Amino acid sequence: MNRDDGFEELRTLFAEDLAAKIKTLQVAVTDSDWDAIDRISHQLGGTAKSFGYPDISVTARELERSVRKISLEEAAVFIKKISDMFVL
Amino acid sequence: MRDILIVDDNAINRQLAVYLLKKGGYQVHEAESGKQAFEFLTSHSPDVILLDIQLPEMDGMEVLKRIRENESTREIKVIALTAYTMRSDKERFEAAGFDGYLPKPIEPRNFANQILDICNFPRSDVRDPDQSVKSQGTTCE
Repeated sequence: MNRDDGFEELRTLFAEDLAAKIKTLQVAVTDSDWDAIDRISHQLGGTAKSFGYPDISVTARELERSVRKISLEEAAVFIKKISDMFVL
Repeated sequence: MRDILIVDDNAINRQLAVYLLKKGGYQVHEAESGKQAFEFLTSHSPDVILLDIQLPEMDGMEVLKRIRENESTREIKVIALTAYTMRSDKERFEAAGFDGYLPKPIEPRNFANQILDICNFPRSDVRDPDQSVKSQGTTCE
């Protein structure tokens, strides 16, 4: 396996993990679970750019910094932005 | 070859670090938690520990404290690898006694060299010529 194959495999794993994390964030909003929103946005902010998604890192960091300072509806807007960036 | 332990509960991030460090010529070991790290350290003495801060049960600050308290581990280089990137965070890590600080997200191209530079290890310890870019890591000095 060469370098690119290995990295592409990791990118695939990241994409699967990202999809799961977006769903978890959506559930966390429904459950008013700010701890989960804080934890997952922190993880996404620290990971996504490494795999070629710098905008997701930036948006996730904005969400992390906004935790408990904004409404759940506003948090949902951040999560929608992250989800849309992933699809693109 | 340098021996390195990475402690991170985020599996994807850990796998990326392991991949990059193996490509860079390190002997790499993994732990998902502070508890696993200490289990490893009972029988191993790596050159470097890359330590995430946001860990379950025992956070990275507490893990570092215990590493420094133990005679057999206190001399190991410990680098904070974290998505806490505010200036105040860096100062907090410096005060706690980390040897250096690497912000997440990991920069794949520089990663292996950043660790060498922080630890003052020679660049010849890295075998991958693609990772010869000037490091942007900072020491806690």
